[in-house]
Amino acid sequence: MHNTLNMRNIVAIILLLTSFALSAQNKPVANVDEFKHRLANEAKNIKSIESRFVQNKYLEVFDEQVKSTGTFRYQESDKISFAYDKPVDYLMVINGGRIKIEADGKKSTMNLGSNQMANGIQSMMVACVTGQLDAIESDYTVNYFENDKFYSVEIEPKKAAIKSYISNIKIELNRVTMMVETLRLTEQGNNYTEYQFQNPKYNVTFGQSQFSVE
Amino acid sequence: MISIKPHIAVIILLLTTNIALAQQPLIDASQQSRKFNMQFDVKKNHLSGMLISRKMPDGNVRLVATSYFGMSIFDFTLADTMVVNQCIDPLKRRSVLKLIERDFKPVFVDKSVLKRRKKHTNFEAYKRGHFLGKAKFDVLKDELSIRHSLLRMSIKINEL
Repeated sequence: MHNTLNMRNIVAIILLLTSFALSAQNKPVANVDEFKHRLANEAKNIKSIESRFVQNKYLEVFDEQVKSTGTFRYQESDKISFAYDKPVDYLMVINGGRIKIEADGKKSTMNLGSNQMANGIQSMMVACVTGQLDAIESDYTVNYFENDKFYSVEIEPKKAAIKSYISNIKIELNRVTMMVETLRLTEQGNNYTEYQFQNPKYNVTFGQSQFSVE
Repeated sequence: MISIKPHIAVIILLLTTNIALAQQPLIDASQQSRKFNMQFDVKKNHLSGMLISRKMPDGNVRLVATSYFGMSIFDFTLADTMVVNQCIDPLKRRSVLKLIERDFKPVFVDKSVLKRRKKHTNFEAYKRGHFLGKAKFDVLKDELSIRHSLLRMSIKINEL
């Protein structure tokens, strides 16, 4: 009797642990069209986003993470800004076909047309923020996964110019809000940069100069 | 009979001390990562990023640079020669890599190739090379700069 009870307990524990493991695992999204439709629906009312972010850069050679923080801003239809405050003040703005970087009291701007990687990142981020993932499927292989908490979109560049820098992009969206919580850019090798977006505010009104690239 | 053993010991001690002194860099790399703000200026172009140095178990110094957005810029090992583990395409030119090696080796490995120009309490100035290869190294308390006047290029490093 005592042995039977112990055996039952062991089986129950194993089942419980297994169910936890399975629920944490990603599995392919059952209905991708439904997911895309829901994403587009949630995103259509969002004209702008302002969010704090924590960036962790993982360096395989040192087995170390380097942390940065800042504020992310987006305004429809293609304006993106990353304003870092730690470890240094550093600003990157992408607006239309131009990118501006301000650092160390200096400013540099360039046309995105000449920078395939920045171009690719802009189109990919805008697609994720707006839910228009169809817009990037010609340039990226996109796969969709889900677990109890997140939808996970895994993106691989097709263009060699971007692939030489970024091998894989993974985006995690909160299942309830459909908002991007984590974005991970993995480079060739095992170095990656992960952005965790926190405390998002939607439809914020930005000043005219917020996304200036002059 | 005169014993030569003490003389050999003194010679070995002197040689070891000289080697240790000769191998002193401008910035000591440690076995913990040291992080620097790095600025490259070439004519009107400016590039900022983070430079991370670490002395590896084999005694070589590893230098990794990334943009603040997170993209890797380069990964070098400073050994007898500089080993390029990874590097963005614009830097992948022999002349550029040679220049980087000649600039970073005195900073992180061995400053003995430099000639001291000035020394004050909080400031030291060095130089190296001639004509297009000429470079000036200024070491302040919180900042190190390397200037190539003829190339209109400078590198500035300050610890984060």
